[in-house]
Amino acid sequence: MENLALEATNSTPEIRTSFSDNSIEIRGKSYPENTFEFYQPLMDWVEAFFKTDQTKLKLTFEIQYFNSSTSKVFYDLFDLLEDARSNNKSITVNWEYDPENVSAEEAGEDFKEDFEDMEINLVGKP
Amino acid sequence: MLDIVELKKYFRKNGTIFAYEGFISHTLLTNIIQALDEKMSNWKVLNHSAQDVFTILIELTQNMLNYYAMQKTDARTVLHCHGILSMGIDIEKNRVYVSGGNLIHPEDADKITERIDSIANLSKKELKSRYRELRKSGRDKTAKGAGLGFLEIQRKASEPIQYQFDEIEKEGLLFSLQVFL
Repeated sequence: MENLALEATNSTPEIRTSFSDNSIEIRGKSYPENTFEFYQPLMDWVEAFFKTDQTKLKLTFEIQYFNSSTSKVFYDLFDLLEDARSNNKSITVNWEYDPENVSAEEAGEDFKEDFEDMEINLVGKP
Repeated sequence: MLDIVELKKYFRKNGTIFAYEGFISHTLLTNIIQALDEKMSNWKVLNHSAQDVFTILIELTQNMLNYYAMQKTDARTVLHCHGILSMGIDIEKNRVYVSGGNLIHPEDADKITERIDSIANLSKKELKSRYRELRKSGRDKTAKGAGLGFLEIQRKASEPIQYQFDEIEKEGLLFSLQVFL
C-alpha cells in the first residue's frame, strides 16, 4: 500500500501514514478551504488499510486549532476506527496537546467521551 | 483625504487589534491567521488562548465564504464576496472580542436569527452535548460543517453572540455579529 506524506501548509496539517509501522500522524492546524476533499485521501487510506491483514493501527493527533468541518471529519474517521475496533483490530489514539491550549485538550476529551471503548490517550506536551 | 485620524481614534476607542474590510478569500484568511499567530501564539487573556480567537475568526470567515459559495448554486443575484473582520479588547468589559459582518439576502435573516437564538441561552454543558449530537449526524461528504459553526463560536464565548441586521445598501442586509470571549 502506498503511504501518504503531505507537508503542512498554513491551513492544513502534516499527514503521514506508514503501512509497515501501522501508524498515522496528523500534526498542525486544520482549516482547509474544502475540508472534506482535503481529508478524502486519508479516509480512503484508512478504509483500504483495514481491508488488509494488518491487525493494529496507532494514530497520533497534534492539532493546535481546527475548524468545525475538521471536527466533523475527525468524528467520521473515529467512526471508521470504531468499526475496525469492533472487528478485532487493535486501535490506539494518542491525542497530543499543549497544556496551555485548553481547547485542544477539550477537543480530545470530546472524542474520548464519544468513543468510550477506544483507547484514546490524552498526552499533554508542553 | 481619508480621515485616517478619525479611523485611528475609532480603533483606539474600541481596543482594536486588527480590522479588515473588503474582498475575502481563503488565502486572505490564512494570511490573517498566520500574521496573528506569529504575534500572538503565546498570548493569553482571561484564561483564553490565542487559539480560541483564531478558531472564532476561522468559523466566522468560513461561514461568510460558504455563504457566498452557496449562491452559485441557487438562482439568486450574487452578492459580492466582501466582509468585515475585526478583533480587539473591549476596554469596558475587559474582554477579548471578535466581530464581523457581511451582506446577506434579506430572506435569509430569519434562518440565521433562528440558528443563533436557538443556542444563545444554552449552558456550556448543553452546548457541548448539542455539538456532539450534531457532529454525529452521519458520514456526510457534502455538508459544509453541518451547522457546527455557530455552536463552535458560542462554546468559546462568555455570553450570547450579539448580532444585528441593517439595511445600508440596496443589494442586501448587512449581517453583523460580535462575540466576547
